[in-house]
Amino acid sequence: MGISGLEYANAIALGWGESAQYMGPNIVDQIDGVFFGAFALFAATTASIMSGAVIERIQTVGFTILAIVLGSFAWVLAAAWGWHADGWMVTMFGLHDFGAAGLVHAVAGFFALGVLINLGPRIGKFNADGTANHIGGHNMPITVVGLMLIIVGFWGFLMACVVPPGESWSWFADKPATIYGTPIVLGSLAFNILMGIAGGIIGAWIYTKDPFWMMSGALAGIISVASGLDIYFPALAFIVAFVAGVILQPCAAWLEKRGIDDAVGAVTVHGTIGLFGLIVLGIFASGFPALQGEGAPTISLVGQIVGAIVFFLIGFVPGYVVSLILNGLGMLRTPEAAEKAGLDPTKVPAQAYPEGISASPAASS
Amino acid sequence: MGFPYDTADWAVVDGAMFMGWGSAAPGLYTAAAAIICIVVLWMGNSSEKAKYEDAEK
Repeated sequence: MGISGLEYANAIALGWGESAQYMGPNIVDQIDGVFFGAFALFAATTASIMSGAVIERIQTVGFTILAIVLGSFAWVLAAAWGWHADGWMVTMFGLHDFGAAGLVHAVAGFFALGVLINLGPRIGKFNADGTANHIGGHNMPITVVGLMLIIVGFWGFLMACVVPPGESWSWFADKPATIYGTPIVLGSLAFNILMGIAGGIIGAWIYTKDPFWMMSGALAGIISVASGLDIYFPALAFIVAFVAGVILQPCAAWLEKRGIDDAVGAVTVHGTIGLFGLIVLGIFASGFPALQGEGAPTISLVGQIVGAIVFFLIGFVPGYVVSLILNGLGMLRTPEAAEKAGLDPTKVPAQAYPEGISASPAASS
Repeated sequence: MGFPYDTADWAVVDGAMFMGWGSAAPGLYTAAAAIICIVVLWMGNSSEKAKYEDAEK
């Protein structure tokens, strides 16, 4: 039984009638639910990228609305244009972004930048003379563990960008393909992800020696090579990721000097490095066919730059405009008193960190 | 609700095999789940607004 895209969309949107059969347990479709879950994850990922940048001073209602705009509109538009065999950026410019460095990471990163401009910095981040203070996290080991979990999750995230063989809508009956219908090998994909991590973490160590930036460098390393994970030679992926790791912290510092308080460096890790990776692929993969079949458009530096500009705008413009409206409606920034008291004690009936938890009375003997 | 085919035999299953298939139940479940999500979002936002107002007092 074949399942058209329209039928599956109906199954998701309506959930009843004939279309409902594909959403529930059935004996004819092994993979659509996985693909739907993966794409829902990508949408959630865009919001989680933004969340790191805006923490400690955004209202939940404003964040939720922004997450919906980003997760259900901005990145979806980017994917339709550049992550589909019929997308105009692919057919006209040969855009290649296998692992979504531009259409997920850069879109979300620059959406976050648009929001940050209207949201403003955390209280105490900048001094009167414009210099920035470092607001450290509560627990470096937990921070690093969290970043490691993201890195582990990247294998699943990127493997979910592969179209499996043998389904009604697969490109091939016997081998996996990218979303563009070009061939891919799972083993080399896994190895190139590893090279991205290795290059990024080493590059960040060279420049910062800081565990936070090293783990962020690992993320940046993966993102920098994500566009071409299907065609990079592993050592080249390592080199590209190494450069991303080296430039990561200086790029974040450059942004901070312009008064942008990006609490976790998300704009740089995902936005700047995402576009860096997209453009670098245009240098090394120039001439590779971007689609299956004769006369396919080829990857080029110009095509990748066009993609970078479009992804920047698809992210930044909605982020800036929607957050401007939310700010005008009083739905963006938390009240100053709540921010100074801390959002945990204000909103959550629990203390997250040791310094806020009173000591227990000594047990009597 | 019952088995969604005329005969209670797995051999006759040719597609969907979940509880409520072929009836209005999946639509009702979907609508109920959506309503729960919307109500919880509304409750959460009301609670947050109240706590911000308390913090500003």
